[in-house]
Amino acid sequence: MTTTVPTPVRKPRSQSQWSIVWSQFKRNPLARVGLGLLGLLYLMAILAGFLAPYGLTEYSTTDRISWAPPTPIHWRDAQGHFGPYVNGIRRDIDMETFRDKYVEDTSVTCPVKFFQTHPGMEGRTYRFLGFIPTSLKLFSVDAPCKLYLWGSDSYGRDQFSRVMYGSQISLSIGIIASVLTVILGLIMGGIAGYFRGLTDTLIMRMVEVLSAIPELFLLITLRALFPLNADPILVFYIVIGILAVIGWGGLARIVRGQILSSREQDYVQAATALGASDTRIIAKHLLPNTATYIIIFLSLAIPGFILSESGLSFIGIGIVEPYASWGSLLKVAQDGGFESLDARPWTLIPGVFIVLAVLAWQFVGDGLRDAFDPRRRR
Amino acid sequence: MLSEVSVLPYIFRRILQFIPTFLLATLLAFFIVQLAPGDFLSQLKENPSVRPETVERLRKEFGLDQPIIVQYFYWLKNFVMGNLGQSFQYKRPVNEVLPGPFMNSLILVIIGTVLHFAVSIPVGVYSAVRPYSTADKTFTFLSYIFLGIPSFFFALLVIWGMLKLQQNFGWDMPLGNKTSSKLPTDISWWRSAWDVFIHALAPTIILVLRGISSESRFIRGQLLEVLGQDYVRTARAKGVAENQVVYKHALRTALIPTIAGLGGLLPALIGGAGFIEVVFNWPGLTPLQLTALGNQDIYILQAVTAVATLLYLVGNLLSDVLLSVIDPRIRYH
Amino acid sequence: MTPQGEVLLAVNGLKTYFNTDDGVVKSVDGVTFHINKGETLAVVGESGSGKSVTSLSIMRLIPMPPGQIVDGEILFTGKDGVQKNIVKLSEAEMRKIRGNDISMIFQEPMTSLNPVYTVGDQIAEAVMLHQGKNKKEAMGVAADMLRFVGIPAPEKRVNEYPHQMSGGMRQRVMIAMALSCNPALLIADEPTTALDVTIQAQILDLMRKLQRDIGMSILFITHNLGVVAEMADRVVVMYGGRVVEEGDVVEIFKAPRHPYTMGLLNSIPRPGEHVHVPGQPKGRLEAIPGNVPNPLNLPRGCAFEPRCKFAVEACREAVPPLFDTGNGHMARCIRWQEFEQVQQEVTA
Repeated sequence: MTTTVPTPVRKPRSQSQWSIVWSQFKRNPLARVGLGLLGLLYLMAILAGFLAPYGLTEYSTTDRISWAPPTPIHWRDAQGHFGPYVNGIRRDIDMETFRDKYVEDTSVTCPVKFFQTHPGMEGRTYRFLGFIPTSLKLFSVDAPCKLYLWGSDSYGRDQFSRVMYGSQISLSIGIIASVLTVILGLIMGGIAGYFRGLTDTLIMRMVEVLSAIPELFLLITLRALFPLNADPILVFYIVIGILAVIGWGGLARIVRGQILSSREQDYVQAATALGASDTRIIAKHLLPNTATYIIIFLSLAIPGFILSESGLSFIGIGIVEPYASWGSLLKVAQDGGFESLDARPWTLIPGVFIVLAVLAWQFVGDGLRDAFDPRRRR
Repeated sequence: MLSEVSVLPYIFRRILQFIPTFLLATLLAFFIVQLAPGDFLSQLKENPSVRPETVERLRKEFGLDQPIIVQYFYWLKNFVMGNLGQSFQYKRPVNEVLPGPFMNSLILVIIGTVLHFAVSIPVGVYSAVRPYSTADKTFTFLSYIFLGIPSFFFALLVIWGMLKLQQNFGWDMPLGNKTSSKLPTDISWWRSAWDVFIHALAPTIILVLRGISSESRFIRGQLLEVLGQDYVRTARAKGVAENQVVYKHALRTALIPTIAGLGGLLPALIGGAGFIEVVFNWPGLTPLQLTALGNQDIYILQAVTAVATLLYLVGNLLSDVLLSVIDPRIRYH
Repeated sequence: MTPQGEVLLAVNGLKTYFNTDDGVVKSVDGVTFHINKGETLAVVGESGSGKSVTSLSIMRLIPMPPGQIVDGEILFTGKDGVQKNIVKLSEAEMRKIRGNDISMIFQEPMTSLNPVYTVGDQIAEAVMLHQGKNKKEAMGVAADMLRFVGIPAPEKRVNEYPHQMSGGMRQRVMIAMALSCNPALLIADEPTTALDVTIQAQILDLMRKLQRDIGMSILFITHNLGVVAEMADRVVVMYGGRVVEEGDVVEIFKAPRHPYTMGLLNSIPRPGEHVHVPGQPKGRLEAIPGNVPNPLNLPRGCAFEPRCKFAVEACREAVPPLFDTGNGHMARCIRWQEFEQVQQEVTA
């Protein structure tokens, strides 16, 4: 194409490809926002135990407070002292609907305490970073008050805490499933592209067949493989496995295409002439070229998997009790029916987190794609 | 625009290519479903509500005591003849259980397909012809949002919004289900059709918003790229008017990948409709499939998957045919 | 031999600038030349000299943001005999000229034809647009044009798609399309650069023959001096967005008056014959040192000065005007008289 708009000459700077990509990425405002948001969300997941005033499954059997609204926090007490505190909760009967209603009991006040440990409360201990047992909480209140920032569910469990813990599952499944998918896709695509012939046809047929079944139905069908009431932790792994099985086809196709076109490149023939073995050629020459695609694929696959997992959990065949993911928490909003939505709109909050996580990954993914694209240099 | 090479042999070839894929896909689904725990023949026999004659008939028709691969061929033979098996939940042939939910899902899919193209093409074209204008930037911003929101969450938000509207303004909102419960049963057909349509509108719009977002951005990108091509410059150099340049010379080529995507659109809509059907209580395929899953009703599971796969293949065939009509380069391969 | 005749196209002081994020790019910065009826004018220069932008400005095909014709006039006498200023025409009036009075062919025949329409359709489109013929008549004209440009079996080829043809044939189709409405002026922007040398020769032969047959003018843009020698009656040399030399083709080759032109001519490997550059030993193959100037940051004085062997202090102070060295031979160099003297001494 003839150049109609002349491109000005820039001072040449020699940089490695990765530092160019990083500096381009940094210049993209949306990408920066996405990265920052991701940092916040994943920090929240790491600190979930610290941020959540209650345990994941903590509720009282003697003093169950179901469907409590968010607890109002007061800042200035009757004596004029400044400091956050909450009132107790009293159960009343709503005169119009004849249902339970929870109102504030102003005779009881409990200050909000910061950085408290709760020795002896089994439900509130957690393992920081997976191995340090502690029960240090950023903020909490003592009995008999309750601090339900985002209300409680039918068991009386604090939703805020559940959303915090839910982030751990929602955010990690996306990454784990994606990594698994990439590994599967690399292996299958690599084999297909390198060995060609019957292997290639078989693998590509598999991909085609898998993609012929609409995703939701395939998810449901694959889930049917395992008992519906399996152990919740097992279900966690089952979900990851299903997501990976569905996702590897796309990457396998790309990797195969890359290899097929690189095969004809001179440097591969040179390596073969020098006596390099097949595995060596694949590992040292062909795979690094696909690194760009893999990074971009990851940044697009992770939000997709977050959505898929939320969807599965939402319809009840994903993460199950007692664990929580944002999707399963959103199920609570759906199960209550329309009147529940009306009365308890705060049950929709987990959905906001899903949106934030997905948007953040999408910004990052788009930013990466643009950063790798030499035609979009800023 | 059709040259001497006819499209018919091409269609025939594509159908032949699809058959093995269909067989393999349904075989895969069959295997997976069968691998689920439980042996159906014994379950059937133990189930007191199933009559022994029924059990015997099913055993014969579907070879329930044979190895799985043989059972598959029984199923295939029956499928081709229109016998989709028996539903254990509803104690009726699947043929009777399936059409209702299938048509309901189809309503959403058809309206959705129309909306998809009717909105994304004009939006995409406008954005390409006036790039970086306020409208274009707004569309891009909205696209991001719609692509980031999961459909079921958005559906919940919409329902909540409709609830609020109904409460605060007294408007009559089509809240879920396929029809209003308030209407009398003896109304004219077009009134009930309209009622169904109104109820289908909210779920369908939510269903296609994601697709429209990505498609319109995609069309914009494609059209911008084509408008920068040399042959578009040639057309301008010939004195062709700008709107002719866009619609006659550029759009046809730019839309080629969009048309190619039609094949994927149908099954995507069917699968995507799933969550929305659940939230809106719309009696489509997915609620059917979910209850079948919960009750291990394998013939429904198998039939729904097979039908959905068939639709996918039909959609692909459709888009391949359309592509070969539009892009002459394909026909010669 | 220059056909003496009326002026068909006169470009006076054309300035086409581009507003980019990094500043204003002055692609064409005050260009003046003219083309007579029936003659071939070659415009020579490296990439970045502004030659393509000049031709696109004549066709008004510059994208108007970010580009802009800032100054100057382009006077053109169309087939209707009326002289117009192209810069001032409305878009609708301009469309009547494009493909009709002035046609243009481009460098890449492989990508310049629409892949989803037959070549006949594409030629017929121009005919229907400008001559009001119906589809059937226009296709007949298309077949005639294919025959005219030497494509065998034109009635069959008219229904073929571009991807069924070779590069050389596609360029012939482009020429057929460009000539289908008998334009007064054909602008050819490097039409043979992307083709094999043998095909190149065929296309050039074709263009010469067609020009003889229908008497049109050709504005031939190229960086290839061999092609210039074959095709052109007169030459315009461009550098840094300006005309630096203009004149009869034989004169320019024998006695260039601008150091840039000298450098170009000396860069052609030719056995035996070389232009004598004052101060240089004869017979050496030279490259011009340095790079094209940054169009965002043109020097205040002569644009060629940084690379010029003969530069003096005065060259940096102001842009030299175009000097008339006689016989319609113009040169933008303050030392042209010295060159003339030396060359006369050598040939004497």
